[in-house]
Amino acid sequence: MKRRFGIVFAQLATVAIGLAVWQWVGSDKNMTLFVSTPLAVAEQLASWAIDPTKWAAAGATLGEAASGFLVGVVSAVLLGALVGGSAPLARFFDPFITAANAVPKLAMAPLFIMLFGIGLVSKIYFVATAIFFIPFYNIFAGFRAMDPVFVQNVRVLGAGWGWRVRDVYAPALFGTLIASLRVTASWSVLAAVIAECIAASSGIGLIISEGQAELQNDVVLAGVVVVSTMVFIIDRSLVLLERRFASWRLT
Amino acid sequence: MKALFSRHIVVLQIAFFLLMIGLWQLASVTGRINPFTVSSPAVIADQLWDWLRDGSLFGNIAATLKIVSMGYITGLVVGVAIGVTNSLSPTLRAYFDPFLVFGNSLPRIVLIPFFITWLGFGIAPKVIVVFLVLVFLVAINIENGMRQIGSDIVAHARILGAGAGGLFRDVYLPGIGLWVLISARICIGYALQAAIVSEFFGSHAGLGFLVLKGEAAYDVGTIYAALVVTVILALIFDFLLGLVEHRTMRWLPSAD
Repeated sequence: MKRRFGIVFAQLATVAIGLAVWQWVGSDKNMTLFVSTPLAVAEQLASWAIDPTKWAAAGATLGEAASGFLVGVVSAVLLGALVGGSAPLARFFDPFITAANAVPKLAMAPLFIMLFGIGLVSKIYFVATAIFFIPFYNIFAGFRAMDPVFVQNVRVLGAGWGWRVRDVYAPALFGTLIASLRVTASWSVLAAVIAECIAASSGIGLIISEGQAELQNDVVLAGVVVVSTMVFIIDRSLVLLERRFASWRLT
Repeated sequence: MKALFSRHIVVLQIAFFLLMIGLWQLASVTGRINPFTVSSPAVIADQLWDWLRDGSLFGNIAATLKIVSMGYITGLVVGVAIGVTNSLSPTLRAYFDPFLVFGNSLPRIVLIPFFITWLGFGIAPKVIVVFLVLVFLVAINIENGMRQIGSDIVAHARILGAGAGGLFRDVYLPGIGLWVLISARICIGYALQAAIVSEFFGSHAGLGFLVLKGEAAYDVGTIYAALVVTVILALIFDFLLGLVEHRTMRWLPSAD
C-alpha cells in the first residue's frame, strides 16, 4: 500500500517536473515561438471554452468522425459477412483484401479532397475508407475462426438462415466487433482531423493547420489537447460498453 | 467444379484483376466515368514510367524510406527496451504504465504540425513523429508478451539450473523475439503511413510530397501513381517481414 502511494507520488512528480521544465524552457524568448508553454496552451484552451465557434469546430469534427464511423462500420460488417461467410469468396478475394489493407489510408486524404471537395461529404467518405478494414477484418476473421460444429449443431436442430444469424453468427461476431470498435473510433477522429488539416472549411484540424501556418504553437497544441480529450472520452465510454456486453462471455 | 476452382484460383484472380483494370481503362476512355476525377490505368502507368525515366521516383522513395527507417528502428529499439525493463521490475512497470497507456491513446500523428513549427521542414520532425507512433505500441506489445511467458517455464528452467543469463537466453529471448517480430510487422504499415502523412505538412521530397503535388496541380493521376508506389512498398515490406516471421518461428508448436 505504501509502495503504491510512492509510485503515484513519483508519477505526479514526473508530470509536475515535466510541465515546469517545459514552462521554464518555453519562457525563454528564443524558444517561446517553437515550443510554447503549458500556461499559454492553458490560456488558449480557457479562451476556447467560452468561444462558441470553437465548440462548433469540435462539433463539426465529431460529426464527420461519427458519420464516417457509421458508414464505415455498417458497410464493413455487411461486406465482411458476405465475403467471410462464404469459403470460396473468402479464398478468391483474400489477396485483394491483403493488398487493399496495405494501402496507407491516411495518405489518401488529398485524393478524397480532390474527388469530393473540402466539405462534410468528402470527410465522411475518407473516414469511412480509413477505418473500413478494421471492422471488416474482424468480421472476416471471426467468420473464418468460427467453430463449424456450432453451425452444424443448429442445422441439425433445423435452423434456417435467420436462426443461424440470430443464435450463432451474431453472438459470435458481436464480441470481436465491439472489441475492434475502440480502435475504429479513435481512428475515425484521427482521420477526420488529418483530412481537416489538409483542407477544410471547419473543424479542429482547420484550427490546427491555421495555427501551424501562423507559427502559433500554443494554438496547435491546444488543438491537439482537444482532439486527445475527444479520443479519450470516446475510448473510455466504449470500454464501459464493452464490459457491459462482454459480461455474459465465459472468459 | 470445386477442384477446378481451387486449382485455378490464381488464374481466376489474375483474370479478375486484369478485367477490373480493363474496365477502368475502357470506362475512362469512353467517358463513361469522368477521367478527370478517376484518371485511368494508362495515365497512371505513364506517370510511373516518367518518374522511372527521369529517376525522380527513386529519389522520392529514398526520402520517405529514410524517415521510415530512422523512425522505425529507433521506435522498435526504444520500445523493446522500455517493454523489457518494465517487465523485469513490477515497480518500474507500475510507474511507467499510465504514461504508456496515455501515450498510446494520444493521436500522435496530430503532433506533426507542432514538431514542424518547432523543428522546421527537415527530416527531424517527421522521424520524431514516426518514432512516437511506434514506441508506445511496441513497448505495450512487448510488455504483454513478456507477461505471457509462463512462470511454469521459468520455474522449470530454474530447476534445470538456469541462471539469469541462461534464463534470458533460453526463455526470455525467444519469447521476446516472437513479440518483436509481431510488432515489427504491425508497425511497418503505421511507420509508412505516419511518414507519408508527415510529408503532407511540409516537405520537398518523398511519396507524401508527390501526393500533395498531384493535389496542388489538380492531377489525380499523380496522386494515384504515388499511392500505387506506396502500396507496392507496403506489400514488399509485409511480405519480407512475414517471411522472416515464418522462418524464425518455425519451432513454435501451434504455428499453423
